[in-house]
Amino acid sequence: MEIEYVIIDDKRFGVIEEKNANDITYVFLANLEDPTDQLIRKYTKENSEDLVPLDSDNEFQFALNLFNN
Amino acid sequence: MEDSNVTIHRGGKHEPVNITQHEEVVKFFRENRDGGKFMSDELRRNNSNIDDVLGVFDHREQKKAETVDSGRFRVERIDSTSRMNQGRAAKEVSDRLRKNSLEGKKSSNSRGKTKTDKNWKTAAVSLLIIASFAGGLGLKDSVADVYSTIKKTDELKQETRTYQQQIDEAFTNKTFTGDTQIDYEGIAQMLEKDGIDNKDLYMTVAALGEVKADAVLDSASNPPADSIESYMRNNNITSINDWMEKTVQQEILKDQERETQRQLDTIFKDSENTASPKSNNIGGK
Repeated sequence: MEIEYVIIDDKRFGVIEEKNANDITYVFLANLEDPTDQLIRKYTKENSEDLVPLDSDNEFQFALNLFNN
Repeated sequence: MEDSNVTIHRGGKHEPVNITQHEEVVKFFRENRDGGKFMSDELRRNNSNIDDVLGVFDHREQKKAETVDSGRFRVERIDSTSRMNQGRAAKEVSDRLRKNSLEGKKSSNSRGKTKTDKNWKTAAVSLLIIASFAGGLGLKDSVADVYSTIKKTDELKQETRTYQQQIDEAFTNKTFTGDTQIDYEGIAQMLEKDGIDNKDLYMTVAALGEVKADAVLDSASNPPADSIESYMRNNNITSINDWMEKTVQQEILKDQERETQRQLDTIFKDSENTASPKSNNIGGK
């Protein structure tokens, strides 16, 4: 099974899922060496080159809901 | 009273549950299926906080031990520690996901491609589902949302139709004599057949389903319920499915009414603030 990955803090994180809302794409990632090590990052339409952490608990919740729906 | 001895197999990881006496078997299924209300009540009572809910479960574990020993409701209990651990693990995964997601620096979005083990993807997706369930329950303040989450879990189960059919057939045919089995392992196989090749997801669903089973253990300290037939007759219930659906719908409607009222209150408070700029009332919790 082939998957995409990005490198964060010298670790390779596989892309589990991507969800888009309001020109922001949330990327759900898991460490290729340890699937329990997970995180959500986002990138914007204007700057799709950078992955950045989420801003707040509210945004984290929003991303989880997006994943669930 | 007719005696039954029902064995419910909860997949390969748990011991069977043996329940004696027809009425309590019926009660088990009725309340097991109504566990969503129990959970929403607990969430409401505990201000929708997953820590509190898990705390309640901890407390209930102690009650459960007493109940099991009471002799009135004989339960060779499933491995409840395993379920509790699953609950705690879910919260740990969720907490870690939250922390990781909010911390760290900007990084490049340049992508590489690699081959990975199918099990990795299964584990990663399952853990994310678990984390989102736990995270969702921790932050949602609408009971309707909780219902929706639970209903989603139910829908996953019911996709297989096995669980639903077995219960319905047992009700219709009154086949609660001898051994009736809820074949969770079979459900897992059907999930796989339907393309949901995900044992961990099945275990998640099963674990969430077991949360519902707490309701029956709590009720064990109460007087035995009427038989399902008389209960249905007295309450003008012609179909257990309709009754369940109506109960859930009524609760959702009540929650929606409360939510509408809350929004109206907020709007009212906001308009008060607009009218009185010096007011310190900022609304919200």
